[in-house]
Amino acid sequence: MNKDEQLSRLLRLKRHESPGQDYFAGFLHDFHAHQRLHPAPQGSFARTCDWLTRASQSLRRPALAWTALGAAATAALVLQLRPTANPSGLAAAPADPAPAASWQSRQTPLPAAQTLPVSSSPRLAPPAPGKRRTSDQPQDLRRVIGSPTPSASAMPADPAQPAPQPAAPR
Amino acid sequence: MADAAANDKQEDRQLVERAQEGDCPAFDTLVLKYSQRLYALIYHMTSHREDTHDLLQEVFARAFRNLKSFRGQSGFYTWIYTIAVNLTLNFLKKRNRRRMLSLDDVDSGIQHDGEFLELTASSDPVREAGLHELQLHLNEALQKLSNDHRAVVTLFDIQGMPHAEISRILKVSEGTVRSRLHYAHKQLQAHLSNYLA
Repeated sequence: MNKDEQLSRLLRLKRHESPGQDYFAGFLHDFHAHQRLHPAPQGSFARTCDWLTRASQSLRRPALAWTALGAAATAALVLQLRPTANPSGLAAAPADPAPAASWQSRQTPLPAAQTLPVSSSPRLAPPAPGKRRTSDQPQDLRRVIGSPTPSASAMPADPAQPAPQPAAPR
Repeated sequence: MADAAANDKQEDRQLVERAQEGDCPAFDTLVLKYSQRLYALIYHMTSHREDTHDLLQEVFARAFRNLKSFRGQSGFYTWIYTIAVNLTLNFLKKRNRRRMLSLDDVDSGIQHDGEFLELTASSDPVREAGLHELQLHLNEALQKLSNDHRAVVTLFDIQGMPHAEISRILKVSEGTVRSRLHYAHKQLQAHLSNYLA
């Protein structure tokens, strides 16, 4: 017999360690006592019922408590089921406050007659070549708005100045 | 053998269904049926009878509380064993310092146990050691194992459970069960070398 088998046999002897049959006969009784001392947590419905029962028992007339509860429940039910007259008309409004019409109006282009090409506006026209801008002439629109990084290509080219030449390749 | 196991499972299922419907005596039957085996499981893991008593009550209390959620995917036996092992392992983690052993008596049946008789006949150390001393050394050796290793040894060597069942209870692979068992046996052989020829 090798050591592993010997060890298994030794360990199996531990099966003989037991508290005795009397212990198991009394265990169920102990378990019931344990359950009474540490009752299982109940669900909310059971808790509510228990609370109401205790509350009604504490009153002199328990029936009154149940009647009051019934009346309150009926009132809540009636309020819940009552059809709303909707005086403000809020319920009829769609959930989306942005109506389709407003979205539609953005999509519909204005008639051509109502539009004014920017280039044809006399207030935004650049000064004629060789003429200085006068005070009654508005500045360039992008300057008014304040373009964050006006690049050279983005600025209107001054026809009086020669166009910058690209650097010659070395 | 397989029929007996199937009948056992069927009986458990019926008892569980009745208990789930609020039949408390049905749960009492389950308590009576499993208390002995679960006691042994917890006792061999703790080597402390008072702790075992408290833990066993907690196992059944927890099973009773969670009985509604038991869907029967595993057998009731596996389910309640899992509760017992997890509760005991959690308890042992919290019980950092090893307490003094508090051992049950060895029943008189051991004097007629064939394996015991064979061991005492073939092994001088076992014969020479008193029964109480042998029991003490066995329990001390077991307490030197890690909790996980002790659980596997308890389930396999002492309770005779197959590897597959242990893997289901501990929720580890069978390979892990075998590996833990091998390592635990090596350690136990070192601790109990005096009793092994």
